[in-house]
Amino acid sequence: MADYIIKSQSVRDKLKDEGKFTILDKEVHVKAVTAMNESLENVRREFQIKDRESQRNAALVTLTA
Amino acid sequence: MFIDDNQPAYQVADLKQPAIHYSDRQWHTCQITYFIAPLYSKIYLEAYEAKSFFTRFLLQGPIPLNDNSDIVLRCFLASGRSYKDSIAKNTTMQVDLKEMILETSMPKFVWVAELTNKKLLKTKEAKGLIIIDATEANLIFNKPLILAAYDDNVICFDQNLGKLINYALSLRNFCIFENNLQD
Repeated sequence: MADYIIKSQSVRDKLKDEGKFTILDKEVHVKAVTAMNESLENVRREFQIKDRESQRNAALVTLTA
Repeated sequence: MFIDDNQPAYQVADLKQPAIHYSDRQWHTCQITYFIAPLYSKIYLEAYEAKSFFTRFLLQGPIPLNDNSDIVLRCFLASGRSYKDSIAKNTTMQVDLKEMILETSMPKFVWVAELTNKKLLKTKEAKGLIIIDATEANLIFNKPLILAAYDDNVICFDQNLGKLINYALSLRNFCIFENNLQD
C-alpha cells in the first residue's frame, strides 16, 4: 500500500512547536487588511474606468493600411 | 507564417521584418515593438490588479516590508504546474519553503512576484516571492494569496484555522524563474 508523506506538514508542525508561528488576526493585522481592501477596490474601480474609456476611444478609431 | 489583416492569409515573413513583403516600400522598415496577447479566459485577475495587489500587500499588508528596503519586483504569469516544476528543480531555494510551495495546491494559473534588487538581479537571484491565484476574481481579504515569503516570513492561509498565518523561517536567496522568460 502506498504511503503519502507530507513533508510541508512536518515543517509547519516543527515551526509551530518552536513557537515560530503567528496567527495574523490581531487588530493591527485586521486594520492593515481593511486598508488594503479599500486600496484594491479603488484600483479595480480605476481600472474599470480606464478600460471603458479605452474601449470607447478604440471604437472611434479606424485603422487603414 | 503570418496572418496579417492587411495581406492575404499565410504570408511568409520574418518576425524581424514583418512588413518586408508589403508592396508599399514605406512599410519595409516596420518593426514589432509591442504586441497584445489575450489571456486565458479563466484568468479573472488582470495584470494591473495583480501588480497592485503585490505592492499593496508589501506596503500595507499584515507584514509590511522593512523600512528603506531596496526592492525590484519581477512579476509574471505562470501555470501552476510549470511554476511548481521550476521550484522542484531549483536547488538554491530554502528546503522548507520549497516543500511548502510544492505541497500547496495551486490553480491552473498563478501570478508570481519575485522580490529582488538591482544587485541580485544581475546574478539572476531573488530574496522573496509572492504567489497569487490568477483565477480568483475577488481581491479583498487577501483572497488571491497563495503564499508569500520575504524578510524571513512565510505567510499563507491555514486551511484548518481559516486564517492568515505567518511562519518565521530563515530564508535565503534563490535563482529566479526563467523558463519562457529568458532574454
